[in-house]
Amino acid sequence: MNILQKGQIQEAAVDRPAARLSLAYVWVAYIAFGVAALAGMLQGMVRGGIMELPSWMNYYQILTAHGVLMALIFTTFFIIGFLYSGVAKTTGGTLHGSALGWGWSGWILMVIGTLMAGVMIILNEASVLYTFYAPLKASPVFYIGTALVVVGSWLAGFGIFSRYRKWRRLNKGQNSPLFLYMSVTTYILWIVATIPVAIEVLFQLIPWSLGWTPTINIMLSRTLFWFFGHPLVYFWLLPAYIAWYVCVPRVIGGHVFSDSLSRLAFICLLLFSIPVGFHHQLMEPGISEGWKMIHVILTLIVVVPSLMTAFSMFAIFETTGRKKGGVGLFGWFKKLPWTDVRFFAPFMGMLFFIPGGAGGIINASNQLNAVVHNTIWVTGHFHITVGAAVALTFFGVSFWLVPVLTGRTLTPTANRMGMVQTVFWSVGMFIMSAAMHTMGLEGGPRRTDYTTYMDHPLALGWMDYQRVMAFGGGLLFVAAVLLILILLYLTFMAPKGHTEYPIAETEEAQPVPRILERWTVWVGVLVVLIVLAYGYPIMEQIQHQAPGSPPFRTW
Amino acid sequence: METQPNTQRDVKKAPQTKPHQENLKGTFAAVIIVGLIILVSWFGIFGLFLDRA
Amino acid sequence: MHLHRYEKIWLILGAGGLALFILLLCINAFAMGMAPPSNMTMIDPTKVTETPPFDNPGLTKVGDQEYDAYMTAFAFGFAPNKMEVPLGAKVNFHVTSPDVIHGFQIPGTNVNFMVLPGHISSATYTFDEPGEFLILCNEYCGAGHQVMATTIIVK
Repeated sequence: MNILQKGQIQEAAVDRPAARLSLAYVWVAYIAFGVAALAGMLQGMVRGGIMELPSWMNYYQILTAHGVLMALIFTTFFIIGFLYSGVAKTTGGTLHGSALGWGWSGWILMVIGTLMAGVMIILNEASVLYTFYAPLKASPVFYIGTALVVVGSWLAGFGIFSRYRKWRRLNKGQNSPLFLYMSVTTYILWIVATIPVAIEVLFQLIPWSLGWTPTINIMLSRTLFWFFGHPLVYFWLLPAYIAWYVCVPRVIGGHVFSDSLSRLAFICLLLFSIPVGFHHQLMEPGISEGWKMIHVILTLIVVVPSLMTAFSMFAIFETTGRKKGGVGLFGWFKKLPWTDVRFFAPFMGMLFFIPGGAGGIINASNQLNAVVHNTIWVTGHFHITVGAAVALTFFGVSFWLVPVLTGRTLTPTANRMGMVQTVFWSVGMFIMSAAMHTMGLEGGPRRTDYTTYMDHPLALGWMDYQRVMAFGGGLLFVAAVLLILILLYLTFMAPKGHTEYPIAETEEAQPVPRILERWTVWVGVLVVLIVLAYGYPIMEQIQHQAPGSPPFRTW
Repeated sequence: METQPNTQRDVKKAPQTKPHQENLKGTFAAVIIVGLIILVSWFGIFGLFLDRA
Repeated sequence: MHLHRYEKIWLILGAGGLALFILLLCINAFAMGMAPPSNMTMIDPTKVTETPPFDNPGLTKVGDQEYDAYMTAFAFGFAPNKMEVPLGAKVNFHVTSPDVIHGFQIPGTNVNFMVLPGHISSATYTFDEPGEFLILCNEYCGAGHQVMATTIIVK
């Protein structure tokens, strides 16, 4: 298997400096997660009519906190921590000086940015939700804070690129380890995706919020935001896919299904997840029907690599289950390690991704979006995708990653608690999102405080769903608290010992087409696709722009 | 986890078959179910859209 | 790169299904005129209240059983505040915002679009059933977002 030639040492744990860096990212992620979970639970209770917020706090403020902390801070910090650990693990269990340097500079910048944005949210100076649509104007400090988070994440990415280049230099002519390759793909996606939102924040929002420019081009700001907004969801998803493709097979005692197909899937995800942002803007004026349709078609193309992923996952489970003696059409299914949380949590995530993906196809289907746009169906949709498929995978990873990083062990008791946590999260999410999807189809809006719309019978009929959502939210909060407790135990108290970092290999050496590692080719194709999908519309939005908007503070 | 060393031994003993020759009937059945879920939900919403037009 | 035979079939079926979705969407959008609302008309958001017809929002009868509804969506309400049309009326909604972004949705119908300052959004709906239809804002617009709604009475 040429493990040593590939620069890997089978049993080497991630060394101390790399582990410390990775753990620092993971813990900031979970601190943000804890606060965000509390905010989420409160929202559910308020909207369900079960409680009222104290006068010094408002619904949209905690909604902003929940969105920013969950969708931007928890995800980004966790992803960087996870990628750094896996990159270190698959390149010899260590990181060289400049990779560590980039990693820590990114962490410091991101923490400063998070604190700036967080303080502004607490002061009610930034109740603009995590999409911060202009002309709602938050404090400039909020925008600068978010910009620092993004720039910090770039610095962290340079560390991963630096590690990759060094590995390539030392292993000429070899295929990079799958985990490393996927991390590089994920980071290219992230950097390309964040450039437009950085342009929006730096050149539109910050000068305008400081009063240097009187008005803002709303259409352009939205296009730049959604240029970023859709690949953002793939930035959440790809690390979960890394865990599914590389870590889960090892956990269940199997192999990577196909090295080259895994890489191909990632390249497709990179290429087609970016030039598709208009599918978030289908219901708005100022974008022509034709351009909307072009983005819809590109969006549906990005479904194909996820279909490949679905096949690969089942194939890994089937081949492994059959080797363990599973027979018949589905006999292999019973042979999977159902009592191992490292498998069970990401598996539940995969299950959630089936309705999640189906819902995503519906959302992106041009005029069908009218049925669900800005209804609470959408909230239900991203709670089963990022909030369940991705989050459960991250939890499942954390259960072994944290002990790997702290040199401790996942004890049978901690494993059992993890199983309980996974069940609570899954049941809570199922109940909440089912109510959200149904209420959304009846037209109930998302992002809205408790209301009966002047006792309109239709809105009164939504109350039952909202109470069910509150109940689901309560279960989710219990699961969140349990998770934090387990992670505290694994960080500070679990017995010292060796925990495996699960990295699967292919069963035998598989040839990988060299073209898959030619980044100039793929980035080139990506740029062409972006220019085709966005060049003309953005030019139009600048040349024929609507009269600009002055800032408003409506909260 | 106490199962890890066993797992590793299983892996080494495993017969060296190529993935593309393996029995993937169950996988195929499973993905077809996934495909049907996608089809049914999409046409459900398409119907709702036409109904409300 | 070798694909298992089943994977090939699966990907062909999957891609075929997606192509079918695209085909149906294109026929429905372009041949049957059900494309999503994509009005390209613009307006100065700071001068909405002095630009006709938005200076005097309301219903205008433009034909037998057909009305134009010129409306403004603002923090936190809609103008006009209440509308009434006869059963079977076809209403062309034209909506803009003098301040932040709003949403315009009539639950139970396909009328659901964004209202952006600087742009005029349009959608048409024929009210074939009597009742008091709720019109609500479904895009966060500030502290009073949850009360931003109006109704259209059909009888």
